[in-house]
Amino acid sequence: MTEIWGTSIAIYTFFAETSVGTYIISMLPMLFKVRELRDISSLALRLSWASIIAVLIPLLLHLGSPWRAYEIFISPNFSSPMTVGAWMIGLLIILITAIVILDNWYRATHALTITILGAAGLVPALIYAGYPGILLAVSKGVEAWWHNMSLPILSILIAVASGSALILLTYIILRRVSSMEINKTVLLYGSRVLLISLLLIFIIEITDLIVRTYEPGPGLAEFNKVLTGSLSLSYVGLQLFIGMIIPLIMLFLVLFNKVSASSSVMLAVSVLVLIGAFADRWNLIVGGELVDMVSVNVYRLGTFSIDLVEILASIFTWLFIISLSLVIFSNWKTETEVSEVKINV
Amino acid sequence: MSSQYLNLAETLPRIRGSPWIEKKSSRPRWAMVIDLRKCVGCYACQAACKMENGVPYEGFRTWVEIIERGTYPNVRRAFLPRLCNHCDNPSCVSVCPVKATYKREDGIVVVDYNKCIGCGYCIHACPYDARYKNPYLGTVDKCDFCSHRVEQGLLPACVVNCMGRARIFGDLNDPESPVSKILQSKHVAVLKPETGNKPMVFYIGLEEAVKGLPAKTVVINPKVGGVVEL
Repeated sequence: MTEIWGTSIAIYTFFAETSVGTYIISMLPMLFKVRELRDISSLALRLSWASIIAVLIPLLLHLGSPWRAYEIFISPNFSSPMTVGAWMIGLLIILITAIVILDNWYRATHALTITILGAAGLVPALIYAGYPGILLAVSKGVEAWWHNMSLPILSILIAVASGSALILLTYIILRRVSSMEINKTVLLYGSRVLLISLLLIFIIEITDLIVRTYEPGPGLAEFNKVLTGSLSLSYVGLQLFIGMIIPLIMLFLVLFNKVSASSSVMLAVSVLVLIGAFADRWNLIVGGELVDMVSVNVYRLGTFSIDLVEILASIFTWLFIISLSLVIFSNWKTETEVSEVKINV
Repeated sequence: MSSQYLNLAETLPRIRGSPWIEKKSSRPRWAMVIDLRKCVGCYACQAACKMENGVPYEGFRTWVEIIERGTYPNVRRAFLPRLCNHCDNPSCVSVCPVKATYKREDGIVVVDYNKCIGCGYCIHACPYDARYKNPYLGTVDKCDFCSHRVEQGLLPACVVNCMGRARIFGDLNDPESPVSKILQSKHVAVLKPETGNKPMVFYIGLEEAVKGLPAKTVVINPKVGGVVEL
């Protein structure tokens, strides 16, 4: 088969959603006075910065001529959703970098500027989170999988879920490594955000699945075979079961106090949600590529080779940039820690 | 199978007073007619195109699909040459993020290889699967009606090399051109009219080539690697 957007674009959309999700969560305490998340706001901001920088790696790797990528800024075609997405990336990189720098070195003196810049970044962040759905919907080829009106909303919800999961995961690991106390309120509030976003994703995904099963249309029969064929492991196994149903059960148990929102439980939930979010993006992009147009509106199922090296290289680079961001912008101590230090002084 | 084709290959009305050739203009509007009744499936067009344009092994600017239908002894075999349709309303142009692909004033849709970043969005936007990623150029590539030849007053390589004279190329704005005359006098059909792209590659005999004998279909398409049984 002719693979146009494969592994690299699946990774790209995952990084993009994670970046926006962490950004939205980081802005909740600042803009909407969600005090329960104050402790992780600065950390979330650094994760968002690291992810938006990491977005560039798979994006440039996928281009045939990456050295000409600047053309999108000097000769843009704004009728293309891709142009809008690229400009949103550019805008977000500038905004998030400025906010992280201010937050790291001038937090006390420039609080208002941080709030204004943070608010200004919300709209491009939401556009950027939802734009993969619009980008894919424009396709006139064989990719009936991508012609789905719920994709932009689904993308924003996945952004929130994956962003929350990444923040909780990093927060718990950092606290455990430094043997510091974990704020239970953060875990509890994080579990609520995850539960709501996962529940909405689950409802939309299942509704889509049912509609697609009954919907007539060229190529759709082949797409439905994908679910029980090439993508059965990543769709049913990773995305639906491991990434959605198990975390939802665990979060419901936490909600009804059958299980406490302990760091171990939330650590497990976060890892599962991140695996599910990645599988979701993978199935979306690769699923669309899995059907070949054999002749005019005659389709067949194709095959796909997983580029494991590219996946591992991108994820390790992402983790490296995350570590680097925590070192460069090292003033990410939580408000609780800062107040503890002040009391000790 | 046949109904799938018939739904998508809508027969245009006999062209007298047709919108295609109503537009009088001093500039040419290049178009192609492919007479499927004359195509013998020799692949000369495919080979000539590769030679003329340096198309790599992995890609095709034009290709010929073979569609076999029915079971012995009731079998029908048809050849369907394919290429960029140089649409009047090309979806590839509107999605290109850097304006690297555009429609010229003579209607030929081209790719600027010095501008294309190779993102592949146009490949997904094309309903005719007419584009491919050239791994050596790092850009997208497709048929341009051999614009370098047309500019010198020559016919595209595929037209010149068609042994059955199945491919006819000409100017829609010239009522005396072979293409205009065919459109005025014969039934023609276009592929996937429902996309709204308004293709400028017309087929004669498309319905006859694909109708009937729906029991079993085999498609031989070099783009997807050989024989496909459906």
